Amino acid sequence: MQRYIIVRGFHALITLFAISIIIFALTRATGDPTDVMLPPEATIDEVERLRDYWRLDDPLHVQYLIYIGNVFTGNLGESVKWPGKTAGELILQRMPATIKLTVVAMIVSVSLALPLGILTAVKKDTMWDVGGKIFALLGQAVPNFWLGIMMVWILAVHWDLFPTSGKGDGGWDGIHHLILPAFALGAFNLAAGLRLSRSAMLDVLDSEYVKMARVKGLPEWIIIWKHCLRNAALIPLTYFGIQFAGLITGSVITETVFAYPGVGLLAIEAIRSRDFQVVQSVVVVFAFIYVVVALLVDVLYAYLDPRIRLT
Amino acid sequence: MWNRWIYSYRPLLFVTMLFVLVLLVACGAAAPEESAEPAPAQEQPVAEAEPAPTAVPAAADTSMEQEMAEPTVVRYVESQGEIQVETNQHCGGNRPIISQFLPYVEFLVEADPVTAEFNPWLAESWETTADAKTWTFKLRQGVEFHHGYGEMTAQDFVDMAVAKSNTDCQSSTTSFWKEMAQAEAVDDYTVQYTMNNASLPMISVVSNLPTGLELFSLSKQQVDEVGYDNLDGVKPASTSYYQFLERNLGEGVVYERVPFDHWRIQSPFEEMEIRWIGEESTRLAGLLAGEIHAIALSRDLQETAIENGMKVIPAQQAFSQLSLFFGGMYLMPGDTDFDPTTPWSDVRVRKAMNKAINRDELNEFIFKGEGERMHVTACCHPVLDGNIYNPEWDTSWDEEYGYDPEAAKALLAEAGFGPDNPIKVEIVNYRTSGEPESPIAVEAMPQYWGPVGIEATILDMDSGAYSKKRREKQMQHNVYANVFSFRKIHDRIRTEAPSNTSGFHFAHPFIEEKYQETLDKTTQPEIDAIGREVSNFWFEQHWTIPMFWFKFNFTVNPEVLEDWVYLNRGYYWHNQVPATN
Repeated sequence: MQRYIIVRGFHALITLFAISIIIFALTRATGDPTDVMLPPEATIDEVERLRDYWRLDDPLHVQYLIYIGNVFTGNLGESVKWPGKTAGELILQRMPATIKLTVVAMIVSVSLALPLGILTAVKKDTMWDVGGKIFALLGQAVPNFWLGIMMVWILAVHWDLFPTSGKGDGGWDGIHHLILPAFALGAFNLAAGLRLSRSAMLDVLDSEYVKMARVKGLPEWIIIWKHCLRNAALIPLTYFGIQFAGLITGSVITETVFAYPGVGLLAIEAIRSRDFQVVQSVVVVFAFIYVVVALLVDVLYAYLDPRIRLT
Repeated sequence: MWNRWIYSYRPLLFVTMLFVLVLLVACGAAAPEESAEPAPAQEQPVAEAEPAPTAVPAAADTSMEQEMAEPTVVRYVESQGEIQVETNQHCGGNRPIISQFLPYVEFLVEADPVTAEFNPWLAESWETTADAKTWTFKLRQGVEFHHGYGEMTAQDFVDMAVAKSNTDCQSSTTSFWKEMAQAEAVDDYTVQYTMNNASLPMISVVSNLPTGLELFSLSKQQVDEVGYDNLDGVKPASTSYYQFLERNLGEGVVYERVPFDHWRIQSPFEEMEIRWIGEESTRLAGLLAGEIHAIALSRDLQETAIENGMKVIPAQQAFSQLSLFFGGMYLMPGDTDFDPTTPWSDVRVRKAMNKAINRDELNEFIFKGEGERMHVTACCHPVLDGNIYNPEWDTSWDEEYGYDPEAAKALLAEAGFGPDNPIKVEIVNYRTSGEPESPIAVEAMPQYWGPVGIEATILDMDSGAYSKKRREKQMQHNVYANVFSFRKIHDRIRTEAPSNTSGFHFAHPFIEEKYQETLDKTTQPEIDAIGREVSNFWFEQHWTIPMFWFKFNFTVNPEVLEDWVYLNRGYYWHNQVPATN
């Protein structure tokens, strides 16, 4: 087991190293940040001064080594768009908002997907089931930026139920600002979770031990609650666990639509300003989250199923 | 019965519905942003600029002070797209970042929002020596800095100019200020700048015209205390009628009304906020929902806003120009970047490409008919550049630039182009904030040029790549759109001169020659005479495809900004600070 963890950890480090190189190269390949930092009428002299200031004339490998050296000392580089702030400080400052949004989106997804999935399975081939399937289909087909805009238009502008953008001042105001983006962010997972819950529940309801329980005359509620629910919930809950990291990184679009100041919006703002230190840091942090979650899942599976350790 | 219900699926559904309902009710009951008890507007007599002897004619009224009415909100909120750099450090960027400073800073000189004539502001008067090298500004007395930093003095403006002259400062005016030989506080209220050369653009540079916008009031005492690099950690002290309150990174900046009687005006709103919202649809939603009171909006979406009760307020004057430029015009002798096969190196082709365009139709489509005829790109508005404008351009307009596809075809044939030898052009299409009209104009061009035998394709790229391509002189066989903000004629000659330009729009030896002539001119009439020669040359050479003069506008909630006057002078967010509600 120990060897397995070490090997997997080594794989994770190689993955992160490769990602850092790819991101470093990509951010430079998109062009020179001074092109967007200065107005079109800026003189070549002004461009040169700015390039000197940001050491953009150093060879790429030197810039990379400086960057990677800084990463190991916890310095993700200084921001261009936010002078005096390091990329690490900016990510740390914005991460709580993104985590809050992601957690609420996850709560929304799970708390609606599981009961609705079970309901549609139990009420198979009724109007509930048809409605659930249509909802699941739409939820997975509708892009979340469009859904976000529609929610803003209907629920915030016309019905005045929610604020249109921002993150509020904390407390109830903060929650108030979270609901629309959380629904928009969680919609896909809600729909996917609903479908998974439904199919898992249908499988369980069709299993031999449930039939036996029915033959024994147990009430339906006991069959569902005590014998089916736990087994049927395993697959969707595993799915939600894996998707949590996906929700964090998927927040980019939702945060942009709702001007919600989290890490996703930070990434978009940095891209527009070619703030490459921040862009590459955000991507590396997102990649790190993914890799760590994948590593944890691997280790957990290996712990639960010893056969995996041998592969 | 109860037991059956409680153990069925229904409780799950019920709890879920209840959860959603509670959230809806809880969130729907949020307090409105409007003040229950609006703060009384502190009416104050308009502070008039005292007449003072100035070296340049001053316009009659500064137009900055406006009558105030009862405010309907405590905090006035406006929104714009993301800003390039979020900072309190004035060297941290360039003119496009100025919008975050505008609410709390003031300038030495004000450009009139209708005529662009210079009026006193923090400087009550100014004068220059005969050689136009030494400039002396008499400052207004009794102007208080924010946050208790005392009275503004000449030393504050000495330090600011010195900071701008430092080559580490990445300001757009650094190239001007680094030619400064000396900055001196003659007394507490007299600041004197001595330049190495005749510097007639001085007043533009210290004004709030787009050419300037960078030399503003900032407390030297505060900068000395905290250090320039630490300005982002404090509330910067300046002198306008709002003072800096707080910055929320990635969200915006909040300002508050100064707690004393401001020398110029008292804001009707207790607070003002600028929010950065990149998505236009989100800004519009905020405006319609009443969370935001003024936004910049493309003309397409303005119709939606108006249908929903909002109001579009245009600037007082058309300070902006939309034009298309011919790429690759690197016409200085020996310039190896010039490609002689570029079709529009022949003036007949440039004229033909102009005459193939139906400007009336475009004006209706892009500006809803509000664009004004522009004869020459880069200068010569009949009001703003009255001394340069040539009325004969209007007489010969139809012949030189008027829509006539048949004449365009004949000109192209004369120049050796036709169906067997068509001109091929790539039109560079890029998007940049504040210029929503450019891409629309670009996309229309193939429709006009196709029928006269010009094969036009559109080349999409981001604004950074476009800037780089242009700066590095890689625009051969490209045409591109650009929006110019108004500048005085000497600035335009300077920025278009091949030895000084970064745009290389039409790098011609005649412009260089005239630019060199301006360098030792010390009076405005001399500069104007050169300006008339240059602008006539530009007109005759069809150096661009001039489209329209146009006004920026602002979409506002009329319940909050009913009578507001938008004092724009060329940048989208220029002087957006409302002085009335």
